[in-house]
Amino acid sequence: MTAFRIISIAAGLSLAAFLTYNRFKETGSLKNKPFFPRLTSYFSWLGRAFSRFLKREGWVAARSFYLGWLFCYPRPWQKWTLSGVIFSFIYLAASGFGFSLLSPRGLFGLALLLHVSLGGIFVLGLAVLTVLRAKDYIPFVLPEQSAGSLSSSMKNIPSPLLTSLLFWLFILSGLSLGLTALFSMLPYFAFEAQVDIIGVHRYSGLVALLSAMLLLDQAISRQKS
Amino acid sequence: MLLAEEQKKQAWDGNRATPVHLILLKDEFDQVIVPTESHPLPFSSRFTCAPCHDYSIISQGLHFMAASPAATGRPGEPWVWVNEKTGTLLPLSFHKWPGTWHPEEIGLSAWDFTLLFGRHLTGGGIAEPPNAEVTPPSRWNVSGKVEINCLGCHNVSNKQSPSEWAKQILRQNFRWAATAAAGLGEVGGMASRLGPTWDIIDGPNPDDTEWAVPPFVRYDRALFDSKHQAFLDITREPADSRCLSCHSVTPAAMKKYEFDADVHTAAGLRCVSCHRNDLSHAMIRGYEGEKDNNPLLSEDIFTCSGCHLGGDPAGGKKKLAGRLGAPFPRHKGFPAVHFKRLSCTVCHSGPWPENDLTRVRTSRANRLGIYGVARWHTDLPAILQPVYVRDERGKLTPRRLFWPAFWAERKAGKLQPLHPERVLASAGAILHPELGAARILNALTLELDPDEKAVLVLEGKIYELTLDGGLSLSESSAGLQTKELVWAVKKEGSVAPLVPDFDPAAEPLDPDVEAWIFRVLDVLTGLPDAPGKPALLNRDSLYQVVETSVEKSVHPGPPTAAPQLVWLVDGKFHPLIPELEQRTISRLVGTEQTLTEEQVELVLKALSRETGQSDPGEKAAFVYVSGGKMFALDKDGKLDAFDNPAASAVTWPLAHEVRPARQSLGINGCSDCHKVNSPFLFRKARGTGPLQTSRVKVVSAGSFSGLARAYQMFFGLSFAVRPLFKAILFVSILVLGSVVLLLFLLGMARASGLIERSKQE
Repeated sequence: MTAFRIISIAAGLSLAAFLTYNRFKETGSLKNKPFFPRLTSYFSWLGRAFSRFLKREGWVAARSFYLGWLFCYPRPWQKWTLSGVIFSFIYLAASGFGFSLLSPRGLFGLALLLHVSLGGIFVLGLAVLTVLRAKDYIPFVLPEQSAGSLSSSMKNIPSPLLTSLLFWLFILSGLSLGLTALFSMLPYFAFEAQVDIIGVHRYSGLVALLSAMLLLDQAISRQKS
Repeated sequence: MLLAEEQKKQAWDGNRATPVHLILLKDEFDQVIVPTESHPLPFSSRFTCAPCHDYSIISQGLHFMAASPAATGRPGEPWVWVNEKTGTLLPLSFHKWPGTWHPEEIGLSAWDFTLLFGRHLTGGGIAEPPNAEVTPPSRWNVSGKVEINCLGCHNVSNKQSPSEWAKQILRQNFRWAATAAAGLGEVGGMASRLGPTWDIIDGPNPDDTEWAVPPFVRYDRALFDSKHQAFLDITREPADSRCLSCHSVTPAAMKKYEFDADVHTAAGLRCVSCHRNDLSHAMIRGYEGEKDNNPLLSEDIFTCSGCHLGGDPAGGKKKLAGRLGAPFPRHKGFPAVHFKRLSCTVCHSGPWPENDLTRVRTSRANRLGIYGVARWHTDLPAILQPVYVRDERGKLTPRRLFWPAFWAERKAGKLQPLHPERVLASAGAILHPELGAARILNALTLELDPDEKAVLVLEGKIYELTLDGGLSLSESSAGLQTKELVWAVKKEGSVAPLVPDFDPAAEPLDPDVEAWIFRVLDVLTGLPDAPGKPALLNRDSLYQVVETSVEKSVHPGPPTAAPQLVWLVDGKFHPLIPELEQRTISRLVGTEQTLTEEQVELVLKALSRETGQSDPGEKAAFVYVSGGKMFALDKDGKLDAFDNPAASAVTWPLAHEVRPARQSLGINGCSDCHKVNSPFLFRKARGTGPLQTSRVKVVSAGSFSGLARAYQMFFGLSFAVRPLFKAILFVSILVLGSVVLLLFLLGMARASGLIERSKQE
């Protein structure tokens, strides 16, 4: 559990820092600055961005991004499915990692009950979305595109391929999350297997979260472009 | 340090056989006992066992440290001071366990404690005080000390009698108890009848061979050889029956043949297979975390997990399991949180949770295992199990509980239990409602034929005398359907009035009837504490004994329907037993309760009168606690009930009887515990006690565990839809997995050129 906490915090913070730093670099205010002033500029940019996000304009931007996303799905049931996946995933990630990192007891009580219930909605919605969108993300039949590169350090990877790989990584981790949740409810696995299953569930959650962060970054880039 | 050195000195040589114990018995003066002497002394374990076994080391063992304030690990069963007359059920402990009272707080000396609980003490410790405490007022010099009763556990002989031990302790024959209980000899006399100045060196009392006979022992000479050596059949590992003398716990409603032993016993293990010890007698109790309290343990290797998981609690690769071939538990399908939050005993020990808590009797609290003509065991305290309480490690542990009952005085805002003697002194006859009736029945029975006995008929029920001078409810029907009190005669199951109906107008009166009336009235006249002159009323006539004959006169009051025995006091007629006693007898006799609300009200008034303290309600100076409630007088002098922490149930962990996996919680799935209205979580624990009242504390068994009721109900509800949830999850995973598989296959087809090839074709 301690190892998971350390890995989660390190991976989450590193990726968040990586993605935000890339955005910061895109502002073009880094040129010819030494390391420490550059770092100071980054943190003040981050603070400003965060504060903007908390203000009305941030919520408006998030809402329009969300609506833009929904726009891709023409039918109401598809919109509901996407919303279900998004919001259930937000809760699953928040409750799962929040309790894992902050509570010595781990996830328990009503939060756990809700976690399990929304987990079902997430996996069901994910299955539907996968059927709907799998054809758009087949890595080896993607059209040649160059819009919305992830970052300068990964610019050699074509963006559609990266998005596709991230999509399937997210689907695989979602599959693993669902499988481990189901296995832990079945009377076939002994105590030590149960412990391992929960471990796999946690790390699958971490992979899902990291891939979701990258996918979100890709989507924001695409919308901007 | 001393212990380690001594143990080193007496290190085990590796031989697992038990040596033959053909040894010289020694008395408390370290003198060899010669059984053929005229007045031999009882044997002393301190000196008899000493040449080979260090008494000072053994005396530090768990069983001899009942009075030690030192840390003794997790709470155990408290000693329960049961006093039926005053309705006292007071949990006592020297260890400051939650909910218990220190004996000294109640005014119990070491000698009092020994006399009260010595029946189930092993000797040593508090029962064997230092010589400085042996003073004439203490009576230790008369009774002697209770040395460690080694033979109580280690004697293989079936002559070893816990009943005899209890009897000798109650006779205050402390130093003789071990000799008598082991069957080494016959012990007579009673130290309880001796004056406080008698000492063992005074020997027999030549002036009194009937009553105040000092205890003596006549050894069974067949046990001794010509060198005065006695053969003691000793085992190092006592049989279970020895342990169960003091540690039996059985469901109160269960018949003996219905009882299933612990799964370990059924598998051939004995108590000492797990509860081991060395010379120090620091018995292993077997709970998790014991290593912090027991010098024998560096790890918890004799716990459930210690044996069943072995040295590899996580399962590991070897899965060798633990001691004595204990099976390795798989616990398939159990979320791991169960093993973090529950002790093994929650699912595996005690009775299966039913709608009501299971009532049990324990050896020490209910005085089991002491046999004789009189009925020794008590129904109260009503010990219930299991409730689940979180221990100091945060794990739920099954516990037994009972609700304390006691009279208390408020001192500095806190309740201080009163010594029952103090209550009895203040209450007078209020707490002896059956005494008057019992005396009358006893006296009348002596006047009857051997196959007849006097009985009391009250509200259609028959009350008979018991062997120990109380009253019991007869199982046979009265056949006298009257609400009046009737003194009657029971013969061969039929009941007839003691004074048969006769015509008072007949002149002269039938001589047989007249003689019988004379005998009955004469018996009543001779009763101690007779409140007045006995008389017989029949319709408009009054019969009294005047000198040696029955004299008839006119009854000045309203005529009676049938002959009625009464007391004539200051020209007024009173029933032979007062109405309060009649009411109390009819309510209490035949039930396990020993007090009515009316009695409690009267006793509280008596206590308040004595001290002049009369604060009403919750702040009252005197209160009575029973069934989880505190009772006090309100401002109108009526009994009212309140909640008070001192009235809370006292609990202690249980570990046995252990059920096998196939009979454990969870074997039928999650719904064994997780369902709406689950008995495991939601059944009620209802207060019980000596007071007959409907005002008792009722708490959800789940409240002991600190689990939120609403959440648990909601959680339980979720299991109703769980099969559907699993099905949805399964289908979703199947779809997801299929798409992923398709993608994989597509990739493989692409990589192998199958797709291109098929397009070309």
